[in-house]
Amino acid sequence: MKFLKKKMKKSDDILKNIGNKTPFAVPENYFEDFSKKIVEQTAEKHVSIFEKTKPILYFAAMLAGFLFLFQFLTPLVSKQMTTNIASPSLVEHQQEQDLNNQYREILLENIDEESMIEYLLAEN
Amino acid sequence: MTKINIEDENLIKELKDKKTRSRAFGKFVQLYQKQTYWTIRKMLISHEDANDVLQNTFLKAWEGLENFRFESKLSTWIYRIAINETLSFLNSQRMKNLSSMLDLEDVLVSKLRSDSYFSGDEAEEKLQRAILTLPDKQRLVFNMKYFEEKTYEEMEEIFGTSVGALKASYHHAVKKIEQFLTNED
Repeated sequence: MKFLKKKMKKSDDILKNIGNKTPFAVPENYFEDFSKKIVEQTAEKHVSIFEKTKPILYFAAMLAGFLFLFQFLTPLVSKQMTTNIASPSLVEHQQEQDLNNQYREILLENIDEESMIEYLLAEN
Repeated sequence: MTKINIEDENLIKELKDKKTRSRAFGKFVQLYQKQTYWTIRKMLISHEDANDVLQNTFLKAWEGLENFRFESKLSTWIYRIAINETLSFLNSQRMKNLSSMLDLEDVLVSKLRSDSYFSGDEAEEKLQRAILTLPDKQRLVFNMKYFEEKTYEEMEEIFGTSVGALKASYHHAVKKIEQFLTNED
């Protein structure tokens, strides 16, 4: 028991003798420089959030513009195409031309060479 | 509820306001950099490592400001970040040393011996070597109590561990250190 007490006393003395002073040092002006550096870095980070997202924002805006134009123009174009294809005047014109062609063919088939000569002589 | 002092209260107001945040953060760094540095340094021994971890600590604090609810003291908040960063750093160093089969504690002892910023005498170096035999968390508790003279109540806030458990941890640490020092003599 005495031995243990003596041992404890000895170790207590050792810790007391060493003391609790921090045995480390830092480079000169370390803390002054450190705070400046951190402030600079956080300021950069603060700006860079917008700087970093700027291209993404621009791209998103462009994409939104394209999408808007696409959405807006697509119905107009397709409507125009449908209108052109199904236009009544175009169909009517085609039908009229077909009829004329058919009529001319029938006439030519029914006119013989003799009546054609008679017709040309009477004209002159 | 944590008692927040007037200096902290004003700083908190400025940190909450986005217009004054950047400038207030500069004040915050100046106010807490030393105590945070020494906590990290005593754990990592090397100044270069401590400097890296200190930078990460304050950058993490800056990033975390948006979500910080200012319910704890600023000092407690920054201590917690610093401790997490320090323990993560030590774990990453252990992983790195796995391949070389080296004990991190041996690496830290060799760093202590070669550190040009170690200003202690032979006895202080021996004490540091004794402290390095402790597990990380016990080492943190010992350093805070012995060197920084923190109260158990302050440590309870930082670690989130009961005063009783902290007392036990400190006394175990003291015993191990005493044993190391007695055996070395």
